[in-house]
Amino acid sequence: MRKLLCSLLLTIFCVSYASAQTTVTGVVKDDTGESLPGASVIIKGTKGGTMTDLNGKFSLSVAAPSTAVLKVSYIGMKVFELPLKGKTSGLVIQLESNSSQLDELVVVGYGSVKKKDLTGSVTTVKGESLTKVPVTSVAEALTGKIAGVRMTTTDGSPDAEVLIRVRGGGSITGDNSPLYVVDGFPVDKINDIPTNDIEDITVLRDASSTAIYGSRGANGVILITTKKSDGGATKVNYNSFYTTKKIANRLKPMNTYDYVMSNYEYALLKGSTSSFYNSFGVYDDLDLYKSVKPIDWQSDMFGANVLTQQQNVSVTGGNKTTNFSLSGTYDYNGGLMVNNDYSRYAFQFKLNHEMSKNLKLGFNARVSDQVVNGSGTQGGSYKVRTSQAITSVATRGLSDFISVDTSTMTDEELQQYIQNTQSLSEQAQQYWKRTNNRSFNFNGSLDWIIFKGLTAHGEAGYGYGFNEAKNWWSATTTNASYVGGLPLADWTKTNTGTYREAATLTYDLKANDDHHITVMAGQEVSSSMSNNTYMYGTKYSKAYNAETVFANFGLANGVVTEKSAINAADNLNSYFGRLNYSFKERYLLAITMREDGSSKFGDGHHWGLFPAVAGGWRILDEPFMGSTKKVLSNLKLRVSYGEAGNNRIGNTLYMMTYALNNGTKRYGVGETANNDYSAASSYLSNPLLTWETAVNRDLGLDFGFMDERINGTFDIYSNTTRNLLIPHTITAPGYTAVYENTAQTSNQGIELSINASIVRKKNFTLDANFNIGFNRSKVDALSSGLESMSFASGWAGTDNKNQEDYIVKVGQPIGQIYGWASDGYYTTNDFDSYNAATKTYVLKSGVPTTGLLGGATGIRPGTMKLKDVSGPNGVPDGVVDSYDRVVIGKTSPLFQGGFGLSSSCYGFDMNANFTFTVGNDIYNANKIAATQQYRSGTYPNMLNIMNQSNSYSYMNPETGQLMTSLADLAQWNEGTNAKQYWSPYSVGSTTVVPTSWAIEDGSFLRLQSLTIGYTLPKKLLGKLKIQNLRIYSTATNLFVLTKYSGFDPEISSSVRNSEYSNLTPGIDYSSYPKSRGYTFGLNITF
Amino acid sequence: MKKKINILITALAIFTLSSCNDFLNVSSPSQADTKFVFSNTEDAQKVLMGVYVKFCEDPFTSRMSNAWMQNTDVECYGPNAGLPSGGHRSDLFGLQASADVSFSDVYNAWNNNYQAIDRANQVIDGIKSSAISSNAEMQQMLGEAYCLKAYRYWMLCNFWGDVPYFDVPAKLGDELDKPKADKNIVYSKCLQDLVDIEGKMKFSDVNTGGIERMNRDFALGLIARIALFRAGYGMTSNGTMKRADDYLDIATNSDLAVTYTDNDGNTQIATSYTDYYKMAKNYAQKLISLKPRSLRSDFVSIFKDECQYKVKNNDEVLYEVAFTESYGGDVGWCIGVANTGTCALGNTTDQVGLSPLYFMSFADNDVRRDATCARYSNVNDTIASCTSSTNLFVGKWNRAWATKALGSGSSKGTGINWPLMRYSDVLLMLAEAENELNGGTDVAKSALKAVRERAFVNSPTYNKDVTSYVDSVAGSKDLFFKAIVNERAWEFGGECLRKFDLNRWNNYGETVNKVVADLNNWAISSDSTLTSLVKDKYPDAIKFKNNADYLYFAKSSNKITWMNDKYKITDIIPYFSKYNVSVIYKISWGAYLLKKVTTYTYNGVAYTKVVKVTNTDGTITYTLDGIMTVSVASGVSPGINKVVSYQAGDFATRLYRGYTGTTGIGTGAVPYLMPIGTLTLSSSKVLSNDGYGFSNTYVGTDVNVEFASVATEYK
Repeated sequence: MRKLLCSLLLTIFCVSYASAQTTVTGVVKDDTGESLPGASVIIKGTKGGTMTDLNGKFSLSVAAPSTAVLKVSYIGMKVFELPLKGKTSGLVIQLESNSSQLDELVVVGYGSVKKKDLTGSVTTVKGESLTKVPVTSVAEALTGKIAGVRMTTTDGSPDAEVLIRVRGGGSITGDNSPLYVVDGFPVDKINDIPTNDIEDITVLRDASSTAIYGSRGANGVILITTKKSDGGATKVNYNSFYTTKKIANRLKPMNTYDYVMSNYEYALLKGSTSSFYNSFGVYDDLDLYKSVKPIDWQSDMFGANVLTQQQNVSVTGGNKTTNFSLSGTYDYNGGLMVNNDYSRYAFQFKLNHEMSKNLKLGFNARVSDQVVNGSGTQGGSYKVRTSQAITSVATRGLSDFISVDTSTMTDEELQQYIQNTQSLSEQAQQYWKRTNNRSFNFNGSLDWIIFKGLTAHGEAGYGYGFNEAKNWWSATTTNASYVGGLPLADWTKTNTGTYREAATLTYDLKANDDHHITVMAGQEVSSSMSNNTYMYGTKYSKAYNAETVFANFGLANGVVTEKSAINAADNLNSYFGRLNYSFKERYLLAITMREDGSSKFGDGHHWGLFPAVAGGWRILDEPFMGSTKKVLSNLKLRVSYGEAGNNRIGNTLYMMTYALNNGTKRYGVGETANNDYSAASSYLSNPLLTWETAVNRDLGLDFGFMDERINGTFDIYSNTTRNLLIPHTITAPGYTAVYENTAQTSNQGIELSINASIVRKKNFTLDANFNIGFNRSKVDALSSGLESMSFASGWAGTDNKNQEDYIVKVGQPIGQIYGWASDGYYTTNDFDSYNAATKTYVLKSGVPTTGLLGGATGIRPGTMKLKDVSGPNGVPDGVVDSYDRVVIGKTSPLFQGGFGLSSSCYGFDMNANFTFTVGNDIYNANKIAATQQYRSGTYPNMLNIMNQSNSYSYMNPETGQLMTSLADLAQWNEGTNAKQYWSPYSVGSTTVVPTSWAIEDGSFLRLQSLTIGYTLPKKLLGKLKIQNLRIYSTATNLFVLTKYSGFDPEISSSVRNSEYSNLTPGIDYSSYPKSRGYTFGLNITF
Repeated sequence: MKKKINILITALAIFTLSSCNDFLNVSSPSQADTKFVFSNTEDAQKVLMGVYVKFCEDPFTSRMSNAWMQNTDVECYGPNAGLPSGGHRSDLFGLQASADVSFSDVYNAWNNNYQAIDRANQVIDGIKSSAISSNAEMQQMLGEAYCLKAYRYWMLCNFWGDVPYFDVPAKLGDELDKPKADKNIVYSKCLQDLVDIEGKMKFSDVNTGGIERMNRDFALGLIARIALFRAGYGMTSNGTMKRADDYLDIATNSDLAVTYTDNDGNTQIATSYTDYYKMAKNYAQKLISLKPRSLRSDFVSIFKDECQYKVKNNDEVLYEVAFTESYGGDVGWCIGVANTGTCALGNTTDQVGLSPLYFMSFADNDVRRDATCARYSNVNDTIASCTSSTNLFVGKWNRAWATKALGSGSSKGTGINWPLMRYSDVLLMLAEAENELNGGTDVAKSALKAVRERAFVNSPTYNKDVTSYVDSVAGSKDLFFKAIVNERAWEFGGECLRKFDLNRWNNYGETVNKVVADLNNWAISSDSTLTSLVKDKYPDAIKFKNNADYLYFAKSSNKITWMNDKYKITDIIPYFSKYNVSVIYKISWGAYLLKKVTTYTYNGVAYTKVVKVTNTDGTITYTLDGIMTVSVASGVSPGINKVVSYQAGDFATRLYRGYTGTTGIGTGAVPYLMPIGTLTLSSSKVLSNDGYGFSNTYVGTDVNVEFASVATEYK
């Protein structure tokens, strides 16, 4: 295209200039050495000149070659002046790129600015760099690419959520996720957008840039611009990849023999071996288990044949006035578990039309349909948990050979029996789940240039969603036992709708070369609504599978319930304005103001005003910097102050309203399930609720060296979130909490990102990027008078007797784990004597005891020991109880970031992305559950570290007898035979004690992906009418360097029933193990 | 240009107009405000149902209504072995609740009560400010709200002692973190509310919902009940049991007084405990005179009706909590006859048991014994199995009677109703109040007699059991009181009223000590060697010499025929011919209460096991616990002693271990109160668990009292 145009122009030039003097010849090349056709070559000071031909060559008549100076220019290149000094042939002129990144437009709220004019802390990631690595979700693709943005993939499930936190996030209990804006339209989630459809992603981090979003910008803004056509000839792109996955890391449970011996010891401790003998045979025969291979539950549970794929086709095209792009993507993301997967269909259509020179019309539509099958490893009492892959029986012993009469079993025993006889993958099937989210978004926009400098922009959009969740429980689940012992099902359908309208008026006034003012004013209205219907049926025939039940919901023989609700709208009305002023292009000033009215607050509290101001100083453009320009290409200092709001709380918390009871209990007067009303919110209503305000302060430095070949950004920030909306637990009749604007948090940090173009040759390029962010969060104040608040992660429900295992303290960061300091185990030195009559061990005076453990051993040598640090009076009291809890871990990392290398070499390309996180603690709850008999059946297995040779054992290994005397215990467990751990039986089967032992360093370095691709030579493709063809292969999660002992250090399990999951981060319980994947894919452009 | 600007101005005007403030005042069509819901009876009733529905949640269905009402001399269930690890229901059975400060069940139960109270206050507030508040149906509902509130406070005061009292719905800005109010003040306030409203309420025969909603019959009974509690004892902050008169200024504190009009039309002001006995008597009599009725003749049918979803108004039950299948109710799941196997109507997880001494206490002809105590469980639909003495379950409820297809895999959510008060309770309250005021008068006697008449309706010794019995106790106030104490046990066994009654009578401690002593004496009497060995130390054991060691029975299909009910059988042979059976089974009864532990001592060290092997050379090797070996020539003593230790059974040891301690005898007040949960305390500036006999650690151990040990030489 470009070449065609050039040759045309060349012809015209050739006609115009025909007089011959001395002929000068040469060639013009670009900075990679490629010849440049169509470059303009003129003789300075004259009108004479020419253009280069298709091969970049030129030929020009020059009157005085000894003094003439050639001026070579090309769009996007710096003008180059060459004094001929008599030379007339063999000239090679290499132009330097002028397309400085500094002139690129960066999308900011309600407009865009040149990168060099930015005054805020803004980072943009280009779509190409996202699509190089084959992933389904945008968030996954962004991981490790932006300084100061923490992305945590919750676990390895196929629909895993990615938690995104910009600069730590200010809220304590509220939602800290940033605002997502797709093509100007705020949305709740971005997992319905395929990475292939993305043009670029911009992250706004400081208030000077987020304040224009006012109410919702407090936690940062992520702007996504989808791809549009450049116009021109129709292009067809096809991208496809296939991935195979397997579990990336396995844990080691005890082998069969160790397993059997350990359970034998437990039988001895309980004083009853008969049922053990019935299950596994007599002691003398246990040697046989040495040759029995343990059942591989990890493979059973996470060994599904996983195939993941993506197919994407896009078509772009148009003409001068109208262009379009159309894209369709299908993703299938298989899970490691059977019948657990994610699939998505996504379509996107974008149309731009220039009605007249002054009037532009835009339209885009996005449609997606996502389905998630299976419930994975999360939540509920009957769904399998990850730790069961360790704790399930290593062997079924004799039970395979004897018949069992299930009718004599109690409920608990039967449940146990089922769990023991069904494989974990079979158990997972007893709970069937499918969720389906369909979303539709339509946007239109109009740009009108009223007169030069004054532009009006209007946009309006409508988005709606149909979401469904279906659950089916088999007859063997406890849920079924409550409602007649037959399968049951429920079906929730939620419809959501959002409309939004925004209009801006921008006036661009360039008074003279020194003063440049841009003023923008606008207003915006948005409204979101939702409604849902719920169906519930019980006593379905066991003969029907889940699909049949949902196809015939009326088949229920038991209770059938239908419910519906239309929720209050979430309305927002806003006015905003921005003033940008630059003086001599060196001094930049931006003032933003936004006023938002939200329906989430009551009368008199609707409105919030959010101002921001920012300044920039392009130091490099100062005259005194002239000498540095050879090395420096950019140097800009930015400073900003701004406020942004947050209203992410429930819709009508400011007033008391009644709603129909949504629970499963009904009062049964007249033998019918009576409807009842109760307060719609479980929080006490607070009419005074108003905006939470984040105050952001930022100091930044942008720099570039050697014509931006090395460039980077450095930011220091200090953010404070005031009037924090926080549920304050209260003592009040009927309520346990109220939302208040009382708390305050702060985040301080440093961010640095550097990009370097190390080699830039025609056939070899090497680029590197690096980013790192340090963030310190601190709680400045809690609800009035409170110095600390503690929260329960809920992973062990009420089995964690002092349930709150997280604490928030004034002056300290959020996410502190609260528990007991581990002190190894009691040794025989801690005891005076053993009383055989009472079977108790007498502690030496001064050695603390505890009633927390509830294990079969009681307090004896080998029992887990905890530190006695305090008591009711603040001094150690000889008893370890709830007074002895301390902060045992901090979940926020010291720093995190990523780095990557990309290279191309003769058609080959390589890309490697690393991410790292350093200094955070992980609360390894899985480890706790798998190192004691925690609700894991009669004969559970454990992690191998708990085998008898590594943990305190009461069984004499020579005789198989129980040892009780201090001397015997010392001989086999202490001194030269010292064991690493306490007896796993020192903690009860329904007790968990969070100790510092379960807190591990979660630092890691991950090779997120490694891609090698090859682009076939154009010459070859030309014959096939293919413009571009690239094939590639990617390995994801190739390695993780970490000391963490669990499946993977990047976790944040959402714990069932947890209202406060924001406050209990970094816990690893039943998280879905991550996988390692190998992908093969191709990109074709026709 | 001008045109363009005009367009612009018009556009802006449209935008501005479209966004007036109404846009920011939103509401959900699925939600209604207070004004609306109390504007008509239908919606007001739904708010009222929101108070009732709190009865359908776990803290009530399987905690406060039954499992936590143990361990008394009637309802009791053996706690688990070992020191409690905290946070288990069995800690509460064993009277060790006070260290369970972080047990979420305790926290949830507290909240369940206060949620119900707040909702009741919303109804009270809503109806009072409603335009149709004088409507008869609205007044009835107002009465229900007061009854529900009073019942919840009654539970709170009995489980937690003094508690914060709230009279209006919670609103931000009000004092919500209130200090504890004395339970007697709470009782008086509730009584005043009930006294003022009861006349506006409807009797169960005309009330919508009958006895499944609170009604005037129940309100009158509830006044009598709370008045008796107000007259009785409770735990005070210094850990002692006291009446209001003993420590409060009842003369001047108007919060402790209740004004009511008595049945003679005179205004009465109740302040002293005697006044409250009068009040109890007055309101019991009021119900009896306004709605006289005879007790239902078939005792067991009262409960069978509940299991069969039959409701009868103006009859025995004054109010029962209405559950409906699949939507709530744990009756027949955690209380009732046990279904241990796969039964057509589902299974059970019984957590409420009965004491074998309670079973023994019944007169032989009392129909209530076998209606109340189930000595069997259902293994499946055709086979029943007999249970030992420590596994007696409540026979009043049996899901096998259910007339709905609950399903073989079903568990909770039986829908079987739970009675909160019966007419016989009102009779016994009248008898008790009258006895306190005037002794065993005719009023007291006839009320007690009415209850016994039904119990011995078929008795061949009817006169002895009813008339002579009542006459024999009527002579002495004390004897009559004891008779009331006993009668309430026999009448309401398994209905879980005992614990609170023992509290208000302040005889919980002596009751516990007697139960433990009796259980141990019975255990001793079951072993003749032991009985003779310890007759001096345990002289009372002889009283139990006739108590059964074992119960013998014949079984055909699911029909069980007991050979002996209570007493020992010396010769079972006659029974074979009498009942024409070939096999007679036996189940451990008194013998089950005794624990025998055998150890082997050698050189002063105790071992649990000895293996004796005769070697080829004739010597004999004794291996102790596989560790110690002793070899001796044949015929030579190895010096090993076999020691048999006779100990109290685990049942007696654990039932009340929070009170009995290691000696087997408790002192002072029984620590029956539960602590306020950690989560409540952490958000309160005024509440604490200081005082009230609370302990931060678990008291009481599992060490079984040793009656005697016998050592013999082991060869």
